[in-house]
Amino acid sequence: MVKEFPFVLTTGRMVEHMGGGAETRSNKYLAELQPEMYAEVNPRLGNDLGIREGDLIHIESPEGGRITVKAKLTERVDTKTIFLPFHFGGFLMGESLAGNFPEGLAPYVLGESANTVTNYGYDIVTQIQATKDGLCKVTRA
Amino acid sequence: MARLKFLCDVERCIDCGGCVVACKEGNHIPVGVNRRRVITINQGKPGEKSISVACMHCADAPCIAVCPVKCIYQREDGVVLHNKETCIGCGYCFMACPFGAPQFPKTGVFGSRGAMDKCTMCAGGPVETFSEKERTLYGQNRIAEGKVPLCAGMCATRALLAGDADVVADVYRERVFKRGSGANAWGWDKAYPKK
Repeated sequence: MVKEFPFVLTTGRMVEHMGGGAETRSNKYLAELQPEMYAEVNPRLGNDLGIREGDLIHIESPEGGRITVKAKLTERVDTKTIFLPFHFGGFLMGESLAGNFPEGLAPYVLGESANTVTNYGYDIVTQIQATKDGLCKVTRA
Repeated sequence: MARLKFLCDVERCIDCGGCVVACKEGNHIPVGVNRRRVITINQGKPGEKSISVACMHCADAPCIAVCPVKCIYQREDGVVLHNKETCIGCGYCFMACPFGAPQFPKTGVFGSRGAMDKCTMCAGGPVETFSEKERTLYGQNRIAEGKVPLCAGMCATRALLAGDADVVADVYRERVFKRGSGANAWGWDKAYPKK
């Protein structure tokens, strides 16, 4: 499986958003500061995969989830890690769910949820489940 | 006459974006116009630094020199202001500014530029102080109220300093002295005990 899904996927927080982003994505100031879902990719890895800053990429999990997000090339992650912020929602596997919100209540910012691609795993010593990470495959969209 | 200045202490700035939001909320700035921004350099590398940038109210401001309608002027206390009713939105000041301070709202069907908008150091504009017109055109006039600008007022780590240049310089000098470099750097007293 590691051969097919060679990258470590980790999810985490951003300064501007909170939790699932339910409040902060509906706040015009914070929505303007962080208006898009993205995946952090190391520039070296981006170069190997032919990904440029702002390109759309697919992130695929072994369990079948696949999200389409923009690539952000940064050295904040190493060459084997992909970082996703988990504050976004409103898209599922490339399809917008904006129509499901009551009229006029959709947040300013919608994006793929990182939890679509987090996958199975647990710690063999403590039996604690891995809810925020996993393995993934990255391809150009 | 006192000279007003901004100073962003890069050792303290944590890139929280609070100054940006405080400015936008307090002065009712539309989406797409940013009087103040936080820039991060060397992201993800050792020595990553963030700095909050707005109009620096330069001593010899290039924007004043290039303005074809002479709408930008400098007050005696150093604050660079402009007259929005004279401004034609040509964008020359944006080209001249080394900090990217002048901002232009998009108006009209062809995306033509509206009158320039920039940081006023919360000092209003060339219309009557505390008038409704000043508030809608230029935002708050906190300098006239005897307060520091909103961005500096809300800065949680006190990284962004604003006010009388002498006082700002004194505060910064004291910080640099306490922080020190080399022998006085943070953690050195624990990590490398003096012999």
